[in-house]
Amino acid sequence: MRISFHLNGRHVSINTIPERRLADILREDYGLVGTHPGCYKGTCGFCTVLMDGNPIYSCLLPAFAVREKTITTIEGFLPTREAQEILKGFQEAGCLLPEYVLASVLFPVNSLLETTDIPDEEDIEEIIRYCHWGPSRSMAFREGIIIAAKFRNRRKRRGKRK
Amino acid sequence: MYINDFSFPDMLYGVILGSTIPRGTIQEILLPELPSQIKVLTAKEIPGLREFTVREQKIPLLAYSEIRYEGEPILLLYGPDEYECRNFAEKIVIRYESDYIIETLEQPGEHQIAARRVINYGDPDTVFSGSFQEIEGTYTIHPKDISTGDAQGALVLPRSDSKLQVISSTLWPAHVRNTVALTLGIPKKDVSVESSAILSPSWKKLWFPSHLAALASLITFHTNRPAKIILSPRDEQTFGPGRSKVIIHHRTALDKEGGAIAYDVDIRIDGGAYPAFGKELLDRTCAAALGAYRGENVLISGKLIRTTTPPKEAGNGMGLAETLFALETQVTRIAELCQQSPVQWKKQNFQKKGDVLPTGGFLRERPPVEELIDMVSAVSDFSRKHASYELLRKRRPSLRYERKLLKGIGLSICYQGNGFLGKRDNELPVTMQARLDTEGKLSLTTPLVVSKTAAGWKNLAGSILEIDPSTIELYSGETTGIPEAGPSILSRNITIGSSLVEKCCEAIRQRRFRDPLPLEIKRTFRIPRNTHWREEDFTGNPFLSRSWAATVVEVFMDPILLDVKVRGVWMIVEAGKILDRNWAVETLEEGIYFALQSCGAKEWIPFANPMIQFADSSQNKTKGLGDLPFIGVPSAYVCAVSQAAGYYFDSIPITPALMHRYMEEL
Repeated sequence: MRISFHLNGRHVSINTIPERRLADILREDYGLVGTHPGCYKGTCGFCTVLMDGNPIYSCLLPAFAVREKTITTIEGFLPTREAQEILKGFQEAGCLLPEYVLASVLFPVNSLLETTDIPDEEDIEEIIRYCHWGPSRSMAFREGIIIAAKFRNRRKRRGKRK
Repeated sequence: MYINDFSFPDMLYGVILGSTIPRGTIQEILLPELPSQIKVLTAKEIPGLREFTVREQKIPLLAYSEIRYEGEPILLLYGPDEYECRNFAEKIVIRYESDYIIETLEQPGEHQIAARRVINYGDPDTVFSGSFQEIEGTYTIHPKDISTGDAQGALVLPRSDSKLQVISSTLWPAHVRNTVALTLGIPKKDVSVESSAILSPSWKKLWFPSHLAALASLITFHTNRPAKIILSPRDEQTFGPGRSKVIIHHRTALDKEGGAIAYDVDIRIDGGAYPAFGKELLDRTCAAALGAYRGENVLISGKLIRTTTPPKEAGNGMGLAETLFALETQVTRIAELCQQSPVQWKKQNFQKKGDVLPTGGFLRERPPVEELIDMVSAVSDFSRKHASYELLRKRRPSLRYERKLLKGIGLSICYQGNGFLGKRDNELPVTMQARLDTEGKLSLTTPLVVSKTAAGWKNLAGSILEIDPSTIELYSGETTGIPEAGPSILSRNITIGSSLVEKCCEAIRQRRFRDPLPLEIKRTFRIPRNTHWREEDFTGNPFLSRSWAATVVEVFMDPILLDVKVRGVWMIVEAGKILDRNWAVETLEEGIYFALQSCGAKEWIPFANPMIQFADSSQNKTKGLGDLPFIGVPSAYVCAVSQAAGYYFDSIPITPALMHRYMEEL
């Protein structure tokens, strides 16, 4: 079955079996190894990608479901300003994110910051529940989200002034 | 790079086909017509030894005839496409002959007992017969598989010089090298091992990666092409080692004041079909069975039992998590039955400096137990909350009509025994090599696999030699040019590794202005001969060092949904000199998260921030702390849930099904 979709800004087409998981396609056919299917049951979140701007578990997504969709992996997201703001926030809070967990942290945090200017405790708790990485329960992780929100707001304000 | 991220052209993928029965013999293997690109290997195709060794235990690489557990690898399929191999594996039929009885932990036969340990001190029988009261409890620790996220696997590359390059997600590279060399029948120098990145150092990465590496190298041996085996999460559950189920029965004799005067502890450990590290696990479990409590009349008997379950990993704490869970839950129950606060009871019954240990040794350092309990009680407000929740529980007429949140709080005190028991670290000594080159640049080389400890070591070396830590290079997991070492477990990186960094750097500091550069120093860690432990009769002080922690867990429970939410975790730690505070806090936070997961059935229990503090330590040496949450959190959690529910829970994990059963009994 031939399936075409948009991957990290490129239009791509692949011949594959329809039920193959997107996580496997991304890793094996496109070498995008920043997507880590840790559990294959939608629990760990390490395989998160953006589909049409929404974070989803790529290990649960069959190939036929991505037809003509826009997929952004962590490799495509990392160079963006949004990703760098979040990373800087965590860095300033003293929370170093291993490469393995980037997709499970950056995508949900980005979704949160797109809808909320000042995330409250409940919002942060939602993110933490999503991320199955031990140190995400730490104070530094929580502070990282808050600092990232400040960077995001500062940029938004600058954009409005211009 | 993580093991699953490596890819090479012309690579072959290996798929393991395991047995579908727990015990029996292979009668016949029916292979359908093989596609040209897929090949199958059996135990007959292993050129060297068909078994590999983990400490004293031999484990077959592929089953030859006899099957000893469900999922035991029988065939190794390989081909250029992993999916094709997996699909083909499903078509293979293996016929067995099986008329064996399933061997379990609950009702073991005499032939199942792989090892025994008995510690008898004082006169427990007489004291029990004259005691005022006896309290009994049976505590069960069911293994709960917690995925750390990163895959298990191995990759083997043939090199132009006819040697093999192995990339493995291992914490014990020397074991991988030995296993590959022995099973292929080639010299060890022809195998070099590189450790891939590891997300979280898990016990699953101790000896099991050696098994996978040996299987992958078997493919390379027969094809001279790169070969990779990656276990899917399902494979990992089938073939991967699990944790041991442990059943501990406690009987405690009390005097009129409620003080413990004698202990009788019976320990049964599921060693699986091949009890790797089983003897060490049994010995540690027995040696620590009384934890930090005084025992003048003690009978501890432990058995390691072979069953038809997969081989076992030792698990965090290597026996201490299980044994101290049972003990702390039992003593909290005793305190409650004696109408005392757990804090008060524990303080009265703790060991003091100079007390005799159940293993006959003397306690040479004063355990910082009282300070830790006082600190953790103060920050968590334990005494007030415990008394008030106890009152609420007693006044509650029936759970059926309760609509308010049920509340509970639990406290535990525990220690982590660092290093292998007694002098066993000497069987797997660790060497560190430090080199200061002509430009003043320092490099450290060690066979230990170092990830998070690296920054701490660099800071330590930097402070001794007064150089910038960021300029120091660290080569970890080395298997060439440096003597082999044991695995990077039981906080050996911190206790042994840090001590070697210190010794090497001190030696360089003394010589660097006297002798010409470059300077090269090599130091090997050995347990001193005069250590107070006698292996022969199992007496003395068993642990290299002990780190301590007092933990409080507070929970809220929904009376209708029976959903437990952890409201807070407080932990006060005494672990000697802390090399890197951020790293230490992160390690403990991660440990608390995983320990809570292992206690509850849910994948994730939402809880407020854990609060971690370090007690002032008079000691200048570094001690491990990574296992402390796994040892201290479970009993505190279970005691808290028991108080909230008003029922004694005596096993972990506390599953919703278990909770419903208890509630129905109420």
